[in-house]
Amino acid sequence: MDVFVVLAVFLAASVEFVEAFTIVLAASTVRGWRSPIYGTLVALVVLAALVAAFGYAIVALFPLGAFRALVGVILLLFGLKWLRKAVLRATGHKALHDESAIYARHVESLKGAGPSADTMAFATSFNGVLLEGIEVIFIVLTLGGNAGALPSAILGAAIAFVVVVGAGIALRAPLSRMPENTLKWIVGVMLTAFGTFWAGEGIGIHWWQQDVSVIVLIALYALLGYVLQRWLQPGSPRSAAKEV
Amino acid sequence: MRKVWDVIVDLVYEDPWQFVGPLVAIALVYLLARSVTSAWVGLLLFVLIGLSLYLSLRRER
Repeated sequence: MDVFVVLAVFLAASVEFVEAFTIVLAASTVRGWRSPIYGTLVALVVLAALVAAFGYAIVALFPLGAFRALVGVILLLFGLKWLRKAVLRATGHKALHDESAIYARHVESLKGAGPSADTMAFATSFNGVLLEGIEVIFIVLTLGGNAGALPSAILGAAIAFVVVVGAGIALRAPLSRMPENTLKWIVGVMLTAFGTFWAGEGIGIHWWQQDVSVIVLIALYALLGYVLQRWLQPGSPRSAAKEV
Repeated sequence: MRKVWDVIVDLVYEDPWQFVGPLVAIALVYLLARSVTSAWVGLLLFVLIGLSLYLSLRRER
């Protein structure tokens, strides 16, 4: 057992698991657990199939940059959509609950033969887990393989998984008590930040301090969302001037 | 597949800025990132995406 490899993989994999779990938690908090869980399970099956099929060769064969860009763009578009709607709802430009749309969605889901999977929540979780899962596989294979301590690397990743998932489940209860639109606002900010980061990595941006930039992006998008919300507020100076 | 397509059509129909804006921003930054390795390029990507969001919300005022 190589303790240093266990520790190194634990730390590196924890960062990736936190990112993946944040996406799944965000999607499930807003859209319910079922679709994000389906997305996660399908992503895990794809990951297992990839490892079984390619083994070590996956590190050389998988186009990680292009995949990051694709997943980043998808998350960015979903995130911006949610953030935009949350800002509009918070400022009264959009109704908090569109009952007819909710009714239409229920009718549409009842028409389907199987369970009504929410495409966006499924796709968001699937993409997030697949991308971060691939990155964890790269970490385990490269760190564990180079040190000749693959079992230690797998152990480090497994510990990271248990710790992150445990912490995430504990966070679920306090999150569920937040107002719905506030949650959607936060989820929009998170997905937009992760989407920007991954799309940027995919197209060759060298982010400041690497993954630390995600936290900076979350803070910047939160600030931007807040400023835009104040600007859109019916009582803001510009709106008042326009009304006169 | 049809549902994914519906989501894309919904995004474009609802507001082109929130769909086309980020894609144009990424394309521009991609061209820049091929020759510039500075971390400021990342900030530029944020600014351009933020501008897309601003233009998208401005339609609602």
